[in-house]
Amino acid sequence: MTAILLSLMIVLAPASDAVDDLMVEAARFYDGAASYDGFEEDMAAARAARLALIDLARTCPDAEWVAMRDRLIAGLDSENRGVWLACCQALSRRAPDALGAALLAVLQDGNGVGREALAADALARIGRRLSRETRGVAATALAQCIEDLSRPCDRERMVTALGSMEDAATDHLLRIGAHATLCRLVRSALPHALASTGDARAMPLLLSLHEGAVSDGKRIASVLALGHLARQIDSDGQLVDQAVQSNRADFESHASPAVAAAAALALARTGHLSADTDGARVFQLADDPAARKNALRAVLESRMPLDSEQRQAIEGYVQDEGSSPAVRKIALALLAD
Amino acid sequence: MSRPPIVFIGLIIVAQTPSSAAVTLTAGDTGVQRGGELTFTATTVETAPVVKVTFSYQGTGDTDEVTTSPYQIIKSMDWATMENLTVTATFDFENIADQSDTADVDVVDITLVAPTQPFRRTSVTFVARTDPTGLSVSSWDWEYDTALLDNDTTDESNSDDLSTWGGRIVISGTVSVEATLVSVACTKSLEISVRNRAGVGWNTPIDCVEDNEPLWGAPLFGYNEPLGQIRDEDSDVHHIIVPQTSTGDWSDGVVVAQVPSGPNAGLWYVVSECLVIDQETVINRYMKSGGPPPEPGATSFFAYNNAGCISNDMADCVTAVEHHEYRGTPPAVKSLEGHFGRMENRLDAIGHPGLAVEPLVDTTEAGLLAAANDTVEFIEASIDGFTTDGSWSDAGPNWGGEGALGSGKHTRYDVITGAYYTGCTFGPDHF
Repeated sequence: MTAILLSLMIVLAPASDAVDDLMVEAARFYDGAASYDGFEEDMAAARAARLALIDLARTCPDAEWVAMRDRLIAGLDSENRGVWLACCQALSRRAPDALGAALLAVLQDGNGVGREALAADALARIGRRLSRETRGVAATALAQCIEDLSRPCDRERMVTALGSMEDAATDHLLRIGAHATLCRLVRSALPHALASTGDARAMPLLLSLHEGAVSDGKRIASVLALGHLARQIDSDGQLVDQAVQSNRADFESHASPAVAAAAALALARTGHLSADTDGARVFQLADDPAARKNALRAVLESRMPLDSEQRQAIEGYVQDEGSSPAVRKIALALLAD
Repeated sequence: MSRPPIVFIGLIIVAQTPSSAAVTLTAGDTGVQRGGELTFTATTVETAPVVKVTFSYQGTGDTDEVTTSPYQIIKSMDWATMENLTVTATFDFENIADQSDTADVDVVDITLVAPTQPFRRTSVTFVARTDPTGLSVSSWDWEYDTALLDNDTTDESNSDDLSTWGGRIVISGTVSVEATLVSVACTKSLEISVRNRAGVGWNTPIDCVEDNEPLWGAPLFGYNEPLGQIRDEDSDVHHIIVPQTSTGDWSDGVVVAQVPSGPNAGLWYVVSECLVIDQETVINRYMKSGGPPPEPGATSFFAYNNAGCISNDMADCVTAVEHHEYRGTPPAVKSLEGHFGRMENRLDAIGHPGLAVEPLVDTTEAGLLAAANDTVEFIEASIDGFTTDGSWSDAGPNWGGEGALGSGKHTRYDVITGAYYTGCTFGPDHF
């Protein structure tokens, strides 16, 4: 019934007017969430409305688009998260730069912490769609928000968003990384953001962060980031070699199987994992439940051929009650290939 | 018993048989594919009035009668196939004996056998054979038409009655085969409806390790550093569906391949996928019992607030942060009061990304990966929007409200003055 009503809204109303009706529907679930009453129905209605709104934005005739775009941007002022989400998604494909500017305004406003987190996340998702010029502006604005220590700020999310600005973010991230306090505040998100820049200049800082990682969780994150950055910078063989050597050292000798398995995955992604010379070590790591997920993913992503014994081991991981759901999933993908 | 008058009867038969063909039956063509139509025309040079002409067909008891000239019938040849099937036209004259003529036609067909509802990626073989069997065919033309790509091939490998064409099928379409059978051009087609693969290999596991990094967290200065977070376990960033090498890129999570040959040759499809949701929650160590002070020599956050804003309930407050990141209070699968519970909730509502990428097919690898990224991105954005916001929990049993586990109101350290703020001004609003 909801879908029929929404379809009627779209058919009967001018496109820009239908936006308002759909926003009301999209808001329902979030309005009623605190009461927990009838949430399934409201959730379905909100989802249908959001899909309809996205479709409406996609198909809106050019002549009506400017009016609709402005209404959607105005919707970003809403306190209702359903409206916020619907407007973000509807704008993200057809007007990423306009959406980016609106999100930056939310971040620079600096009043609502909840909305800041949403805006940073949304910005991270559309970063790659922004024009080069907008990416430059966004990177500068994000860096200013992060570096302003006097304001409340979800810095890690903003650093992730900054990373999505790709090479426009490199200078800012290097500056943040060199600032002891800032670096400490954002070090969870910094390796991934540096890797996302795809800029060779980020490699030394990334290597340094990896050296200084204080927990296995941090080491795994930086190991993967090293592999990701190395995969993108084929212009500087020396830096790639440094990253690969770091990954290989972790793969071959790290005391933590989980870190070694993450290094195997990073090596697989840069094409430096060999079935002949590394296969035995990877499968040895897969025996450890803590390392199994990334070890198997390394096998999958390197397209390592499997012999019958290895297939049998993987079938065992599918059956093993100790395997996590993710491990079973990757094992099944290996068996399917 | 006396013998019958054989000689007399024989004379009568001779008298009733015309000396030359006074009636003629002609067929519109030498043959037809079964189910097709043929025109049969009967004519006579007799001047006697015609009562009716009866057409009969070998292999069936079916007859047609025509009472007015022209004595013509358009017949749908939809019964058994046969070479040299005999059709007979019998004239019933008003004053003279019946007269007949026959025409031979070929009714042939192609038998096409194919699995019409294969699962995607199944290797199938389409088999075409002459009907009746045993006819010699020099060339079979195959075609598989889809919305994305049409492929065809010609089988001239031998001249027997059989041809096959096969390969992995990844997209629905129409398979058709054409061949000339004893001068009759025949074609046969079947709709192939590819079924989506499903099952555990296409479901998206969702998992979360609680309080996974004991060393995580920054001093709780007045800058509103987070008390807790939920994030991807491997990369430590706010990604939900992984592997996501960079934001919006899930290409490492899908294994794609190109169909090398056969009806779907050239198409790229998803062989398998390993998309998962593998989250961790982290709780700021500076808020935990026994956690470090914000500055050397200062009182720890736990001790300060336990004696003040969160009087003697600081342990509950830490638990409330954990529950907020995980599955609410009390912890429950798909809880609307915890970030992870909301992810579980949303994943079920919007559908698993693995199932969403399973049907994707494209003519290029880049196109397929882009489609996969678009598909997963929409799902992740939906889950993300549903779970990111913290305001939904303000009235629940975890935060706020009478009897809630954690009051949330607390004070933070001011690094400028070197002391905690005087009021309990910070609330449960930043995770």
